[in-house]
Amino acid sequence: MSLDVYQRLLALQRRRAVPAASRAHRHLSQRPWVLVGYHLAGEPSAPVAIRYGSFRGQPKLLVVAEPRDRDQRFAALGALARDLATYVSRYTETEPVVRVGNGRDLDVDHCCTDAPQLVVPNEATAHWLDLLGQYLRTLDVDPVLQTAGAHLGWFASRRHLPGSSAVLTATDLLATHWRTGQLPTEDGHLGRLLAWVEPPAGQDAWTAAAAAEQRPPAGPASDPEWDLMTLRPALERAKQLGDVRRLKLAAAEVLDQAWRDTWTALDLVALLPPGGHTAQRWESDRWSWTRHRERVTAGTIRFGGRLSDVPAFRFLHELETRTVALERQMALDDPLVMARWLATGEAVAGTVIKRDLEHTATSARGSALLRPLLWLRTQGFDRPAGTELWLGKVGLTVRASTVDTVELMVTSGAVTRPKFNLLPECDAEVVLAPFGPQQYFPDNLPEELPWPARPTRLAAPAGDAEPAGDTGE
Amino acid sequence: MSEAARRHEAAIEQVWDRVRGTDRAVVVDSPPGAGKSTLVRELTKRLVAAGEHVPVVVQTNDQADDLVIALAAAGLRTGRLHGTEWAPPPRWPRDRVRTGTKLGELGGCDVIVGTAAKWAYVKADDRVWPLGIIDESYQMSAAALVRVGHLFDRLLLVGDPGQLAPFTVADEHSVRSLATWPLDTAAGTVLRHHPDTPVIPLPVSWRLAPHTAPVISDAFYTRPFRAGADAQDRRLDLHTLAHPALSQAAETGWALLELPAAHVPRTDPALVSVLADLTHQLVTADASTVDPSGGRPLTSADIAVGVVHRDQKAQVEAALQRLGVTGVTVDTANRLQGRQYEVVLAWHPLSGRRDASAFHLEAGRLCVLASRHRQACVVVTRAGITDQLHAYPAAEPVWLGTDPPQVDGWEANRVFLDRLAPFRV
Repeated sequence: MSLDVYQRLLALQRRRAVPAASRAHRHLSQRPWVLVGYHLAGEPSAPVAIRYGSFRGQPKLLVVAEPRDRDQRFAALGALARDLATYVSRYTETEPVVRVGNGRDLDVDHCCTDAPQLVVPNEATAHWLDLLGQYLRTLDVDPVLQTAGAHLGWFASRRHLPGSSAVLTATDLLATHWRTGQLPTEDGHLGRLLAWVEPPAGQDAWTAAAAAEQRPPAGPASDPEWDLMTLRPALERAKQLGDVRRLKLAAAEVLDQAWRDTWTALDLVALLPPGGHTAQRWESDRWSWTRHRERVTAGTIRFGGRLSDVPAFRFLHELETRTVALERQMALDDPLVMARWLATGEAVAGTVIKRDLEHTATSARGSALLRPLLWLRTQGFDRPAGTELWLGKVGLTVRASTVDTVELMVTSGAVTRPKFNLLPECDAEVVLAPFGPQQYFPDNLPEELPWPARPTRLAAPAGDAEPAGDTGE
Repeated sequence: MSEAARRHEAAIEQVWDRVRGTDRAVVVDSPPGAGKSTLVRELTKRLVAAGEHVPVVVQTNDQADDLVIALAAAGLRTGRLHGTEWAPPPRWPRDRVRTGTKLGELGGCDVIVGTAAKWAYVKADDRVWPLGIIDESYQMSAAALVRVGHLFDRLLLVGDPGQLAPFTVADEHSVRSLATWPLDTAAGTVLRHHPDTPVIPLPVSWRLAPHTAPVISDAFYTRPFRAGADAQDRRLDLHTLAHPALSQAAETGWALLELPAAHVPRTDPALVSVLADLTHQLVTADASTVDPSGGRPLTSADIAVGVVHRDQKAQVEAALQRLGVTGVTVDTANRLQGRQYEVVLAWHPLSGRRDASAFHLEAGRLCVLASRHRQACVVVTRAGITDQLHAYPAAEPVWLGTDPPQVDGWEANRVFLDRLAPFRV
C-alpha cells in the first residue's frame, strides 16, 4: 500500500498532519528574502502592496497609491529593486574550488560561498514574481529595475528544477515534510495547510482550517470583500489627498497573516535536521548563482522567452537527471522517506541471519567468481528472484525467498576480500534500497540540432537563447 | 500468392524504391506484426548486396537481440553494439555475430545493431553513414533522435504509430513550457520538419489472426489494416479442461475476464493471483499451437503477461515463481513494444482505478498489451470500466506547439471494450 495514502488517512483520523519527512530536504538560508504581496484584481502587473525583507520583525512595506499609474508603479518598484540589489550584494564572496578539467589538468574555479534565497507563501506568488521580473526586464526604464528583473529571472529559472532551494514556497515546504488529511489541492492554501500542521492549542485541524479560511488570503490575489470595503476607500483617499497612511495601515494589517505564516513554515522545517544531500544540492544553486552574477556583471545576461532548439533538450536532460537524483537522495537521507519505498515493497528491511562469504559463482568463461551470500529475515517479502537491491555501494540480487526470509547474492561493490568489511555482520539490521550509487550521464547533445530535427527550407533558428540558470557542476 | 501477400510485397517494393530514391527520409507506418522486422531484414539484405554498410538503431536491448538473431539467421555478418552490462541472451548465434562496446570491435560487419542510447555515445570520428535505419521510430523520442541524427545522411524510419508515446520521469508540465517538444516521436519529428517525407503504410498484419485484427484496427489505428492469415490457418488447442477464459480465448482469440468491481491499490492482489493462475493453467494445460507451418506444443516462452506498472510486474513474477512457473515473460506495456507471443494475458490499465488519468487512458498502452499475440489474448480487469470512462471528465490540457495524438485514448478505450463485450466470461 502506498504510505502516502496511509498517512493522509492517519492525519484525517488524528485531525492533525503527520510527519512525512524527518529531515529538512530544502536548504534554509540564514538570511532569506521573504516576500508577500497583493496585486490589483486581474492585473498582475499592478502591485498594490508588497511586504518584504530578511528580518521577520522589520518588514519593509511598499504601497502604490494609484496602482494603474505607471510612474507611481515604477517608483515603488524602484524601491523594491534597490532593496533586492542590497540583499543580493551580500552574496558576492567567492571561494576557490579545484576541479578536474579537460584531460588531467586541475582547474581552479571560483564559486560563491552562499547564494540568495527567495521565500514566498505559495506557488501563485512565485509565479507572480516571475511575471514581475519579466516586466522589469523588458521595460527599458532604469538599470536598477532591469538588474532586479534579471535577478528575479534567475530565481524563476531555478523554480522548476527539482532539488533547487533558490526559491522556496511555504506551501511546498510544508507539503514536502507533512501530510494532511485534506485534498492535495487544499494544501495550496497556506493558512489551511498550516492549520493542519500546527493547529492552535486545543483545536483540531478541521476547526483551525475553517478559521484560517476566514482570515485574509496569502495573495497575490486579495479578498474581493477587502478590496471593496478597505482597499477602495484607502486608494481613493491616497489619490485625492495624497495621503497613503491609511493605505499603508490597511496593507500592513492584511499582509501580516501571510508574512507570519511564511516565517512559521520556515521555523517548522528548521526544527528538522538537514538531510545529508541538502548541502550538495545547494551547491548546485551556488554555482548557478555564481554564473548568473558573472553574466550580470559582464552585461551578457539574456533571457529567452521559452527554450527551444538544443537548450530545450538540455533542459529536459537536466530535469530528468535532477528528478531521479532528488528521489534517490531524499530516500537515502531520510528513514521516513525510505519508509515509502518499504511500504511498496521496492525496498526491504530485515535482520541478517546468515552469511556465506566463500560462495562462488561461475562466470561465462567458466572461472569461479567470489559472490558472497547473505540471508535476511524480513516480513511479507513479495518480489521475484532476480530483483536488484543496494546497500550503499554494494549491489545484491535476490536468489530465492520465502515469506519471511530472503537469500541474496552480492554482485558488485564487495566481491573481493578486502571489501568484505562493507558487508553487514550477522544480526545487523539493514535496509536494502532500490537505489545504487549515483550515476551522472553527460547530456551528450550536439552543438546544433541534426538535420532530422531541423526544418529543411527555413534557416535554422538562432539557438543562442541560453537558459539563465546553469548548474555549472 | 494471396491477395494480402501481394499487397504486402507491393508495399515493400515501394519502400525499396523510395530508399533507392532521393528522399532524405522515408517513414514506414507498420501496424502490429505487419512484417516490420522482415522488412528491415529484407531491406538490409538488399542494401548489403548493393555494397552498403547498414547501421540500425533500435530502442531496447531485447529488440536489438531479437533483430540480431534474425539478421544472423538471414546470413548477414552482424555486429551487436552494446553497453557494458549487456549479456547475450540464450540461443545467441555466436558464429556469425560480433559483439562489442566500441565501433572498432565490429570491423567487417555488414550490419551494426545498437540501441539509440548506445548509438548516442558512439565515437564515430565524424563518420557519416549514407543511410541509417531506425526501428520502432514511434517509440523513440526526439531527444534520442537529436543525439544520433548527425551519424546518418539519410534515414529510413520504421515503426508502429499505435505504440506508446515517449515518456519522461520529469514533471511533464515543466517540459511542456518549452517551445520545442523534446518528447515528440522520432518519426513525428522528421515528419514535422520535413513534411515532404513519404509515409508508406504496411497494409497487412501477419501476427494478428483474422478474428483479432479488426478489433485492434478499429480501436487504435487511423489507417486500417487487415490480417494476412486465413481464418482456418491458426488454432490453439487445449487438451485438458481449462478456465473458461482460456477456452473462450482459444476458441475466439479474445476473452475479457472481469472480476467484481472494486477500487483497489495498484497491485490488486486478486488480479495478480488470477493472472498467475491462468498462466499456470496455460502452461500445464498440455496446449498446442497450430499454424500453417504445423502444430507444436505451447511452451512458456510463447506466453507473456502484460502489465502496466513495474510493481505489478514484480508481484506477478513473484506469484508465478511461487507456482513454479518459469520462462514466461512478464513485463510492462512499455517493454513489450515490438515483441510477439502466441498467447498474451493482459492487465487492463484502468482496472480497479477510481480515475482515468492520461497515463492509464493512453491508447498506445492498451494497444501494445492487446496486440502482442498471434493466437489469443485474455484481458483481465475489475468490472466497471465503462462507468469509469463515462464518469471521468476528460480534463487533460491541450498544449500549444504539439500535435494531438492521432487516436484519442478515451475513445480508443471505449471502442475496445465495446468490441470485446461479446467475449466477456
